[in-house]
Amino acid sequence: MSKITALDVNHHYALKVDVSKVVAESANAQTIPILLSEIIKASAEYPLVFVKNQQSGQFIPVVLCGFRHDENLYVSDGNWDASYTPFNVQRQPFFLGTENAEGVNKSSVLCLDLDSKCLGDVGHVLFDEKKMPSEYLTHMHTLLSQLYHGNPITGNFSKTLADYDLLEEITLDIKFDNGDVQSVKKTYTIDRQKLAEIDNKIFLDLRKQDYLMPVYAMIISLDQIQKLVNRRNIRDRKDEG
Amino acid sequence: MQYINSVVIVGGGSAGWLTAGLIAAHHKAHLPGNLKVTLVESANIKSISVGEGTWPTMRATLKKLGVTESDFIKECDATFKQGAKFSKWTTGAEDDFYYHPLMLPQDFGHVDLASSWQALQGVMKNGDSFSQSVCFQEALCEAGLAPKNITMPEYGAVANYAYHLDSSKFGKFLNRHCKAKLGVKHIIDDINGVVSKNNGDIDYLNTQSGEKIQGDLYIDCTGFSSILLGRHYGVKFQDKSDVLFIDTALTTHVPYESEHDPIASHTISTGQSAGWVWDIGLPSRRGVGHVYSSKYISEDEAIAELSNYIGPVAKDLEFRKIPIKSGYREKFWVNNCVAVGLSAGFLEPLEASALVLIELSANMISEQMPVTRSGMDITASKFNTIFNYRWERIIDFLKLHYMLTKRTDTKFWIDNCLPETIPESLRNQLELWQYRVPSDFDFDSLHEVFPAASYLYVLYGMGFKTDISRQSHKLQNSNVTDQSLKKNIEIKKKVLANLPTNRDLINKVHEFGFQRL
Repeated sequence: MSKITALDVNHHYALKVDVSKVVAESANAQTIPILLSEIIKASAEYPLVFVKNQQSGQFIPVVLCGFRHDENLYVSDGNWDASYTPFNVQRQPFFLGTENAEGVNKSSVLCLDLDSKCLGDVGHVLFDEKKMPSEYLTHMHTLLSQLYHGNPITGNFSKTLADYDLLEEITLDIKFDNGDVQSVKKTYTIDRQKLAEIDNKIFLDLRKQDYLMPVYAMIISLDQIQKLVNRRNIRDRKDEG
Repeated sequence: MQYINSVVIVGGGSAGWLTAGLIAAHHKAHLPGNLKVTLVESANIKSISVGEGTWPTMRATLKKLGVTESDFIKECDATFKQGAKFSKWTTGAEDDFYYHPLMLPQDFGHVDLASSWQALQGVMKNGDSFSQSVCFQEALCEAGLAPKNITMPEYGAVANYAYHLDSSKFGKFLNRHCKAKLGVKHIIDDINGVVSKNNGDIDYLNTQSGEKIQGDLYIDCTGFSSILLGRHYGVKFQDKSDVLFIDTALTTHVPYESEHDPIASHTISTGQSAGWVWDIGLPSRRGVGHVYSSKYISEDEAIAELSNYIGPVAKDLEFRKIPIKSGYREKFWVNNCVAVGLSAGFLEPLEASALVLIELSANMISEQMPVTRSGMDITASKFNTIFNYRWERIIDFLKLHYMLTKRTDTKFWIDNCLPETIPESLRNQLELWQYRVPSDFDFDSLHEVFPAASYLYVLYGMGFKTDISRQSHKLQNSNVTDQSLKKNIEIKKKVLANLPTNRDLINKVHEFGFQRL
């Protein structure tokens, strides 16, 4: 369960964050949303696909981390077992909320998941003796603001591809070494055929917005699925002893 | 050899623009060399602007027109319709109602739940209604839930649905779309004369501006005036008021108290003393109207009943009176002219049949568009036969709602049960259905407007008794029927837990839109 509350120096002064437990918060996340700015780097290691945000129905790019809904094959014993750790994994236990106010310029509010296992009496402090944000909290603030600025930019990327009708739904049907069969549905990627046939105007628009590289990166990243399957096979063998 | 190269649609309401759009889309009228589609309408004649209920066919129609569901919902103040609730039609009691949902009974076609439900009525009192046992859609409607969520692609459904829409906005929306995307030529002018050829065909139309408008096929979408089929060709209107007594409508728009008020999932039809009130909830306001027979109550009484239905806010509202002639033309296609919409006929909106008849007509004309003038007479004859059949069956089905009533509180309801007011075709069907439940084999057409399942909902919703005692073979499949009933219960639980309210979904559609996939 999660209990997301706005960070308040008066209520949360004594809390500490055990950073060794941060990665474990994502241990059951089958997908991790990533920003447009992360796509190219992430594509070198991870299969990247689009899924639909359950609240808005809009597409978001994610790292596919597993084949079951609660499986993350990149988290082993609370450690991120690959090179690049996505922002959305690093930012735990912090969240970005929006101010509960009317009007267009809602500012984002730094929130904390009070039920997070990272919180306790061990680890980094959030505030110093003067009740100012600690170095750690300032670092997390910067990370969260990267997400805050990156989310709408990423949303525009996904929306542009959807509006140009460049996405297609794919189903991954995998048979593992131990005979298990899994079908991963409701994932989407860029339709290579449609991409090859777009007219020049659209192609130029994608180029101008610097979308070409991330588009190709996401297409190529699908080859990483085989590596993810291998991870699962290795994990299965280990579990079966 | 005379070829058909151009179509002229006269009239710019829902009928005109839907017909122009469907023909233009199908024939790719925006490409040079293809069929030319022109719509001429008057700036001075207002469209009727009342028809707000549609059938699930409208989803396919909008897709054919190349319209996105999100644009349609946003620009036509549209929402989802999942069926009709008939309140106070059977006994008139406050809690008297039944549903005609848009989904078939569970496993319809291979499992007969109607016979087993009917048999159960003999032994179990106060069990679930027919609709509740065989289908989960009533439960969704009672809970005000939507037929899908925001993550479904456009036009996709969890529960089968149609739309409630704002009629005038819909006309303007189609107008824009037809001109911008479908290659329909638009002329604004008044027709003041029809010039004929020797064979009786329309040669051209004379207009106020002096322009001659010429086509190879003319489609009369001029509404009740029926200026081409009715006036020019004099095709007789067959009055059906001896079967369906309604002859007047009082219509109005009722505001919500707040923008967060729930939007109903269904059309509500509430029986009155000499008619019924329709209540259609759009996102921004409700469309409410009282259709009644002036032979049984006065206009003042009708106004009072409508005001009573609406509540205190009624005193601030204006009611618009529209006379209704129930019936349809003897023929719909004469020479090179075919009528679509109100110009062809009209019946009370009890099952929202007007817009679907437009879709059916436009699709048939479009798909069977004559290539030669000589071929047109053959198509015309088929069209007349099929649509005459359809109007007759619609009348049968609407009459069914009335003649099954147990109400005897007014002469209107009593008279509706008199045998001489019931079409023979309906009486014959009911004779058979006394001893077995309706099946698709009871109906002659491959494309019935109201298939057997629709009859099941009305018959058993209104307490019609089918004596199953000679149908024991229907009751010897209890494993299979039990499975279907169980499936229905499971699906019902799932959808009630997972679907959003209409208001929430409509708000999300306005904010995010539906994705195409």
